Amino acid sequence: MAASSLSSFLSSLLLPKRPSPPLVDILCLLSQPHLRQTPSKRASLLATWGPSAPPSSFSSLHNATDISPILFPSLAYSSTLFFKSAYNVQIIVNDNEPEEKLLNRFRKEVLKAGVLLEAKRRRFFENKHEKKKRKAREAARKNRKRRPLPKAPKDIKHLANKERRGDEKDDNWDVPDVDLPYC
Amino acid sequence: MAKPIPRTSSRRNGRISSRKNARRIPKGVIHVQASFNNTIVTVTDVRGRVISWSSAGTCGFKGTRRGTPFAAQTAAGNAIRTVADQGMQRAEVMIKGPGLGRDAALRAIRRSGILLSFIRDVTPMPHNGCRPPKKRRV
Repeated sequence: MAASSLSSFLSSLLLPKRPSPPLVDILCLLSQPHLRQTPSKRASLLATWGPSAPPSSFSSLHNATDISPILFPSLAYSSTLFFKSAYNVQIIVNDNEPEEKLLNRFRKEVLKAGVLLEAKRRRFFENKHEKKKRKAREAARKNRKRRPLPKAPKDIKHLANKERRGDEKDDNWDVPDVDLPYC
Repeated sequence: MAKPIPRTSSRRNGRISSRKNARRIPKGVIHVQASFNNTIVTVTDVRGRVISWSSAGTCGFKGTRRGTPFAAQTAAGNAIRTVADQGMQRAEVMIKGPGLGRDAALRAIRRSGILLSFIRDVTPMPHNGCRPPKKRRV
């Protein structure tokens, strides 16, 4: 009943063909079970619409856009509704996928979602001081990864050094051989 | 005396399923709870009713060895062996918790020959809920 109302809502919105690519993931996820039941209409609609909907690897839906809960209120909880339990990371296994490749894919998704880091953080209580230190560390790491710009170009520094050494060589340190008046 | 009225089977449904051992379930869910000290592998049906379980502790490991990946591997193997002869072909895997047993259990499940449909991570994340215990000063 809810599914049919949702589907009518979806079709009414899909007909004016509103292009919003971030919503493709959510809609594809929700309509994938429906695709199996009613392949006729919705598949054609999705085929005209979707640029990239790979069924092989769905990542977590934590990065849904902000407007999606307003546009499709039921879809805001699509990950929880469909699977009857919230999950952080989901991987759909292809047939005949080699074991190592599957494990690597799972590990990468988990790393991207930050599950292990978060669990480690929440194991023990951290006070304000610890929290500030951790946040500073994370920000530093993020900045280091994103902006590896050197402060000053290296060749100018190199030149400056050379000039300095050259000046020292040119400098005349010898005492001039001149009779001093009062010696 | 009147003959006792035969009871309807509505009450007996729960009892019967625990007595009948040859319940064939083609599709199930494998829950792996991997904590730092232990790994518990539970096999349930799609609704969540437990079929069988095994853990690193029940496999004979004790103490710190329970948390190792090898122990997780044996626990997963044990759990699946009891279920494979019940005819389970497809399974979903739900992994919970940080721990060394995550990858090892997954590897063992994959090697056992059961078809996997999903692999999900369901580590519970509080939205800043209860206060965790204090830091250890070791």
